[in-house]
Amino acid sequence: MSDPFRDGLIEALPGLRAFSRTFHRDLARADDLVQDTMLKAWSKRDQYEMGTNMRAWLFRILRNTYLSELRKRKREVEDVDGSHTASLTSKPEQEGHMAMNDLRAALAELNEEQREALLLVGASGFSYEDAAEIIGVAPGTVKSRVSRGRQRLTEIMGEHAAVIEPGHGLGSAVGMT
Amino acid sequence: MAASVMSKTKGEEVLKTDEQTEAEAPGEDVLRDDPLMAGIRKMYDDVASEPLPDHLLDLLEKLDKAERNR
Repeated sequence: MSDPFRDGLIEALPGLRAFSRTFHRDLARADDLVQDTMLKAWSKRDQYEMGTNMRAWLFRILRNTYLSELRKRKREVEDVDGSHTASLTSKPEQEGHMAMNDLRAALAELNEEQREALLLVGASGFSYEDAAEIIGVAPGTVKSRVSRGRQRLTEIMGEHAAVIEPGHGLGSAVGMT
Repeated sequence: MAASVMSKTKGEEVLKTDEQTEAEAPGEDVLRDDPLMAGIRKMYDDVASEPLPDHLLDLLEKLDKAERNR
């Protein structure tokens, strides 16, 4: 009894968890957002058109869920846990990599729009078109944010002096010589 | 004749317009080869490769069961 919708959801879950951590630094809260996304997606499953990009559809739901929760919370208290500056926190045992921590800190300094654009296009592997659809803006706007975010990231990393050099570690990992 | 054009480029630092930054944006394939992007992708992949927490799997199970009984 295969259920393509269920399979698609499972397949997207790891990416959704990573995307969720661009919004929440607190890991439990990030997973709560994923859980809410799953519930919402399931309740809307009749609206999903099979064959269209399900990952993008789910990412959009997660983003909208986050925004509506944020609006709700804002009416109550202002950003209690500082979750605005969250930036892909992973489990403690996976930290400890110097360059990685610098990059994580730099990413946290970007504004949310730029961070999100870089994450969707640079890390999640979405096209500019898909990312634009997820965010709900024009593809040109996503391009502009990626461009500015990348520029800003380079500046911040330069200020912090610890730059990821091509040929070392991460650079060589992508086949640069 | 070109005076108005020239005066536009004067001044200290000229802020880039959205059109300029948009035009400068690298293609997706170029981004994939960028070391900085590779770093972000590594962070992303680290999170994505964590095992799924039990409560999310449990929820999936419940949703699945409810769907079958529909």
